[in-house]
Amino acid sequence: MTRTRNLPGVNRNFRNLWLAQTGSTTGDWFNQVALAQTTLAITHSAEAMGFVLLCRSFPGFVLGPLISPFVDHFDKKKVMIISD
Amino acid sequence: MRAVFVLVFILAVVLKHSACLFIGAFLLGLGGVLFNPASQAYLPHIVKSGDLAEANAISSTTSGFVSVFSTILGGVVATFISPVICFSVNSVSYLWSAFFVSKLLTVKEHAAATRSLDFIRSLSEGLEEVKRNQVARKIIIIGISWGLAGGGYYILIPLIGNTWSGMEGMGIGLLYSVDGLGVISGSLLVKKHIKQQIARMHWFYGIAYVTQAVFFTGIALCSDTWWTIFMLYFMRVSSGIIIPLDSTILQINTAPEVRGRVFALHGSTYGGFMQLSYLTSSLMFANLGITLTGAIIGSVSLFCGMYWLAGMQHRKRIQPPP
Repeated sequence: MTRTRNLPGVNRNFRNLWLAQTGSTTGDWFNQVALAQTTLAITHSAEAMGFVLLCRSFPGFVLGPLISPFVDHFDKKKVMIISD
Repeated sequence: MRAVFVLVFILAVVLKHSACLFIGAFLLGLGGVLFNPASQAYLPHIVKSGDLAEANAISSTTSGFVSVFSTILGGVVATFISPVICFSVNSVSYLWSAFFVSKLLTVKEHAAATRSLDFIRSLSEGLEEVKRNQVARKIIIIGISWGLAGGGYYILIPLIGNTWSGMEGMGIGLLYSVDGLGVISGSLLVKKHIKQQIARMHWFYGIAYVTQAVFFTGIALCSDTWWTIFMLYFMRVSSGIIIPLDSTILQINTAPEVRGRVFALHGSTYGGFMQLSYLTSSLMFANLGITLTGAIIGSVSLFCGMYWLAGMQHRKRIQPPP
């Protein structure tokens, strides 16, 4: 745990977490644009767009509170790797 | 999991079948349920509490930069080559993420975590913490309120982008890149002006919800392309302040042994109401129009800001002078 002005430069763990998040965020935005375009191209419907987004967040809503104890109980690193 | 699940979208493109979109979105959501709470709960183990605001601001700033380039590039690739490439990039990005996560140090867990898992007790401990912890409770309530309305924002952007003639994916990509620029600017403000100042952190958080409301309503009210971009930018500057502060305030005010559960609860309640919002706001956009729906969504954000600021005033009144 190091306190400096350049956190990613000196804190190796933060740098790795930051690189991991940056990589997956890059992909997520590619997905976001392509998914919106594909959905509107196939369905031509705002409701369908809403339903796609709904499907994506539904598991989090239903399972999130139920499986939250696992986050504190299991190794967070393993949880992140399996999710990816 | 997510690296595999995202490939279902490629099937949707190839088969031109909307069911694949819904299944793919569901699986992708399923794969990501634990990732964010785990990473948010992991961060305070590797960064000092005084550096948390800066660490969260760096993450949001980077996320903003990435969104600008990725959405423009994604829009170009999706429009001129194929959305299949975009989904493939997304799959590889999860493998990249897993690689760097595997290089993280395994942190020593709190004693409570090394006990055998008593599921019900563990679940109720998380709920108890939210009931007891005033700050966590307020952030969760605000998350629910904004979640109830904020889904409309994610539908509004593709709707507006898609109406810009001849641009299709590029129009959506352009708007998301403005979104990213706004988030970068807001996060840089946090990084530069807040750092370890807890009181300022709380003020910025409440005020940003208020300005977010004003500019969101502006997006819905104006029909001019450049005004839309202008309003969107300032709305997302506000979001760029809210995003890192939301995580930081919660990380600072939650005990490490229950932090994962509190973040999971926050994420699931916020995400859950957001998904309800996808449904309601898509129907509202279709039936009430963009202007009225936008004004309603803006009012909810205004409520969030006022609720937080009123709570701060209340705390100030009941706290004895030092």
